[in-house]
Amino acid sequence: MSRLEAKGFRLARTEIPGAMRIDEAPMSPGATHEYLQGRYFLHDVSSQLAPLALAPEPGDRVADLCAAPGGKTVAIADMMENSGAIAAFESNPERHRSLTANLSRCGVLNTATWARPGQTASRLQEQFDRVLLDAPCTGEGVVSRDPARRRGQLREYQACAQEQAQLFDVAARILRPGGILVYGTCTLAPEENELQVNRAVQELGFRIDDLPAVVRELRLGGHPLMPGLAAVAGRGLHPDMTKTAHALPHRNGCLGFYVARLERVPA
Amino acid sequence: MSPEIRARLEEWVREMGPAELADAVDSGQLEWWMAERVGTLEVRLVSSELARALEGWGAESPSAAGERWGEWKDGQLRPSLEAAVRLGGGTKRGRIVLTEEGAKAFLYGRDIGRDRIRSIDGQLRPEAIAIVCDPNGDVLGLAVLKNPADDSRFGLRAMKDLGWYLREGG
Repeated sequence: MSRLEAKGFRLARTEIPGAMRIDEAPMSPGATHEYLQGRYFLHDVSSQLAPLALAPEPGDRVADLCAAPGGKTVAIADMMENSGAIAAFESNPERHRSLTANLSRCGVLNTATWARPGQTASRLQEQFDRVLLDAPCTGEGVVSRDPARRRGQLREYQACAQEQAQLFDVAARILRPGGILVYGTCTLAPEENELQVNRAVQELGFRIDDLPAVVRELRLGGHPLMPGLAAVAGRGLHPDMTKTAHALPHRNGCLGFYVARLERVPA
Repeated sequence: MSPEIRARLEEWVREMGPAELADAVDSGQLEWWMAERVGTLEVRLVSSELARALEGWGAESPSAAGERWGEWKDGQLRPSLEAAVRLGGGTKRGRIVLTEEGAKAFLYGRDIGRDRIRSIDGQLRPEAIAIVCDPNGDVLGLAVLKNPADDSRFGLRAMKDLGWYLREGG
């Protein structure tokens, strides 16, 4: 921090432990020596919600099913103090290259990566303690930064929802009973968020867990996160759905993000 | 991994690296992991718990694991950028310090002129692989020290630098 401030950066603490906000940057923060040496990672504040909700512990075995570009994987490895083991998957070869470059840059020693879809994670025949499913989505929450992310076509929602359901099925197979799954997207659509979680509770043996206090009590942009929807289009969802949360761009001053923490119910 | 390669790697870390790193390797907290790639053996440093997990996931070999330390070829380790950064932080051996201008040019992957080199570890021989640092002593990458008898204006041939993460790493 002091090295960046000496270069003219103006930084401010945030409500999230270890995360700083850049208020003024005399040069690209992604091109400093400190960045190249892996002293920090750049991402939107809302991207921290998933690792905080997962709350991994040193020694855990964790699967990250859609890991690129690696900001959340690096945060998880840091929370685990570079111990335990993380299995990280990314199917897109270019994005996999980004993932491995970022892990290398940040000195991550406890992570193995596979350049293939998260749907193949069950081949490891591991029962993980925790799974992060930061699912591919229509990206409505990032439209303010990247309008090209979304074309607003119905088939996009259908394709994403189908892939999210497949990944949920895999997560249910690779998580040990009592293990924790964090589901996240950077979109707002209930078809990709609450309805996916509702199906996981009804069909896959999950229950919705409270988010850790650090997420539950977080105020971004001066406002708390919005609870998940209890009903969609007149259809009531599981009553615990309000334990899930949305960060909303217009309200929380960040990119949109949805996060849910689920426990695989012991048999 | 053959005991000979393991012994050579451990000796190399003890000779070059910070004591904490050598201790972590000696105590088994960190372990070497090797993967056969086309025509070479890739050496990686992983946490002991990841090494145990990889044994269990054996049939499903990963694309990458832990930190890449380089390639083992002809009985020697050709160190990676990551190895240089981790080793260079704790040693003055094998180091070359550049001027500010030299450091900027080096991070663009350029060879470095003799006038932009501030100091060279006297133990380094021509054509040796050197750890390149900026004036603060922060590691920037790896380069080959050119022979002073060579009449080129360049003193260092760039191998790999941290700017690679931006140019190629994505």
